[in-house]
Amino acid sequence: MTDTADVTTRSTRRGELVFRVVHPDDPAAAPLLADLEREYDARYGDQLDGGAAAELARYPAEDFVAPRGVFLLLHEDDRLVAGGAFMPHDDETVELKRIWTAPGARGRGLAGRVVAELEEEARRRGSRRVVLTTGPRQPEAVALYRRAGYTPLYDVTRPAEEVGVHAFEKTLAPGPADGDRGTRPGHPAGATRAAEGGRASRPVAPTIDAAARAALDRPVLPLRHPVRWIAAAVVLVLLLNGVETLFTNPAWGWPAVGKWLFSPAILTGLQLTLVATGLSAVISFAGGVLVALARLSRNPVLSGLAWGYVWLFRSVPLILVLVFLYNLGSLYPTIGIGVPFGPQVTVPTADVLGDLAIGVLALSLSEVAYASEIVRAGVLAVDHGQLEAARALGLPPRRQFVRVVLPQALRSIVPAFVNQVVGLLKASSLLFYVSLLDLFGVVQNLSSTYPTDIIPLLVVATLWYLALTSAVSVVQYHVERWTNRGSARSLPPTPWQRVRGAVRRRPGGAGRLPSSARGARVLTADARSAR
Amino acid sequence: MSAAIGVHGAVKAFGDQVVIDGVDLSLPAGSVTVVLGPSGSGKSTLLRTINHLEPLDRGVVTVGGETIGVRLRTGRDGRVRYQELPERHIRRQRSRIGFVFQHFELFPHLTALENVAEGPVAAGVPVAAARARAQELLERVGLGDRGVSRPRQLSGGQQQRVAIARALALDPSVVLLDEPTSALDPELVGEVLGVVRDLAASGTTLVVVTHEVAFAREVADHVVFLDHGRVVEQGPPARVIDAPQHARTRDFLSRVR
Repeated sequence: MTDTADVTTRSTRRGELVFRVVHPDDPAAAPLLADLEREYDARYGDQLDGGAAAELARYPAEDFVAPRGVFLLLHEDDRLVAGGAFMPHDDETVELKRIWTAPGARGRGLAGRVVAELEEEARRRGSRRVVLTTGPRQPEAVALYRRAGYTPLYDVTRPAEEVGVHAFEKTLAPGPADGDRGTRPGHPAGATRAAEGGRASRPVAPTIDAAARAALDRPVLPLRHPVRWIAAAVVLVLLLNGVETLFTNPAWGWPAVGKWLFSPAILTGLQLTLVATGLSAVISFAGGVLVALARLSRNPVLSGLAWGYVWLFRSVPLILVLVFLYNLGSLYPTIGIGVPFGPQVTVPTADVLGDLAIGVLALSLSEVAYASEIVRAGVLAVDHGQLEAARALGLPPRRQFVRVVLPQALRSIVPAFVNQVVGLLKASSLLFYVSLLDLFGVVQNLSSTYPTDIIPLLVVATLWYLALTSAVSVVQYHVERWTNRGSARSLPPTPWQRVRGAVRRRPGGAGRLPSSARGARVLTADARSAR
Repeated sequence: MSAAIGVHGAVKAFGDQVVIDGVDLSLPAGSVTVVLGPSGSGKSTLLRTINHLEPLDRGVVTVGGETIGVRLRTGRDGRVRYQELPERHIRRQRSRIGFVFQHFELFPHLTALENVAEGPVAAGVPVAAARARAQELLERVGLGDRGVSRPRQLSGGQQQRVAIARALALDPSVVLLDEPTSALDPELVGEVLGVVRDLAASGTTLVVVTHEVAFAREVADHVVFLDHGRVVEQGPPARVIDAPQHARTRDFLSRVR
């Protein structure tokens, strides 16, 4: 437990910021390294030989462990928000590495705190200079180091890409922590010793007076943001104005809304909307997979036909497809199947295609075209090595797809496809034009019968569409958790689990934390007692 | 010993670039062969032709006397040619050749145990038997307690050991390893090489593409040095590594050591 002893804590308004020293192979550091690797690959993938992984693996872990170096993580409550490290450069110089801020925590100056903490640590170890390098495509890193007082060692007037590696240095002023070297700033004896030690040419340490020294042990106060509060107040006042009219303006007709919301006519329309959307969603997903497979097939006839299908139904407006199908009976009075120019089996078109069938067919025809592109993009996003591994194991083609490729493709398919389903839900209101009474159709009909209730009826339709879309979003959230199961080390809690955790935490205090939070809290407590 | 793997007149080009330029090899059953060579010399491609992940343009590979991915056909003109086999035959042949990838290529959505059991299950082994065998193999590579972990929850070295267990799941007579330690942090290389060493001792025929010269000297029976798609030099490690005859071999060894 030597790792956990070395912890410093600082409170902020958002939560408790805790610095922890870890071994670079500690699982706690893994998200940092993984995100750095992703970030480097994204920014320098075209230049790095062997990818960022090779670059990150260049130095042995021992370089980042005391006494040679250090690896720091900054946690806010239990969340890893930033981190960084240094390794030895020469006898009195350390080199900063791995400076990182979690994607969700950028712009809050956390990296600056990490740099400051690392400098402090370097100073404690007796280093007098810090060097570092960054790259041409990290303008935010360059800005951070210049802000933190680092001197660029390159020509700042040249374009970043031309400069290539951006090197920086900073001379450390011997600080208050430099106790073991005996150079205590503000103490004449120490200053003399420093001069005797041959350091006269170095910049003199900035001195701080007794009052400032007393503040060193107290938490740093966060900056106030009055403008933020004013802006929020203005927006809230405007919003409340609008909300007020919901209650004061009788034209909203809330009693009528209540009357219509669950009326049988509306519920019948709602049912049709649900059936048409549900059927079309299922058909379009299955059809989308098939068309995508045809498109990806090496058979030129299949892939050509799939391309043509997508081209046709993406080009034609849905309403046109609907009306076209509605009039199919006059184009082909009977439909059938058989040998071309040979015997045929035929039936009257109207017998096969009822109104609902026409509606679902039209919605599906155009949705399949979009869904197939979504599925195709998802399949192409799966790493080619996965398919090779499946082939090397001797998996049959169908199993390669269903067991290996599709589950991984779903990660990118699901969000895009759900978006399509939401669009489909609303597009189903077009069924009204082929005399199908969906939710919107019913509202339209009722409005002409009860012209005084137009506004309440529109409100009813709005409320139902909001409810349906929200339900879809909840389903999406859980489906995505499932499809992401292999892509994260551990899944974050669902909102519901978070609420339950918060409720459980409230009455008992720190003693009744959910087990996941317990370890980290104990760590903070250790840190406090250690100080 | 009979030849477990034979490569005969192999030629492979990607577009204009010839990557395998007339390679002949004969590797006895139970032997451990290390393929060395500068990057771009065609080492990985050669390895991938052995289980037909890369089909050859000319020439043929045999494993256990059986031609891989192709069979002889006599054309109407009376000449014999190699013709590609149907997919299901190739699948059967591949299931007898284990392959370990540089970047592991474990299936991230499946657990370690499911990864190892996947090949046998696909080949028709009952699920319970496949899982029991997978558990045995995980224990053999020292990961008996990590069966429920998904690949992302394992270190690189652990992932590669799971990948080796997966390659062994169908009891292959031959295992091919394509730079199994190049994607690993230096301190994790040892655990993977340890597993490969045990595998070599168990009598499985191995072909390993690697840059670990020390490992090659210790474990290999046979070292093949490849450059520009040709075999420059081959023989026991004592000769090829410690007393290379060819200037290009000497040059390469001086750079990797």
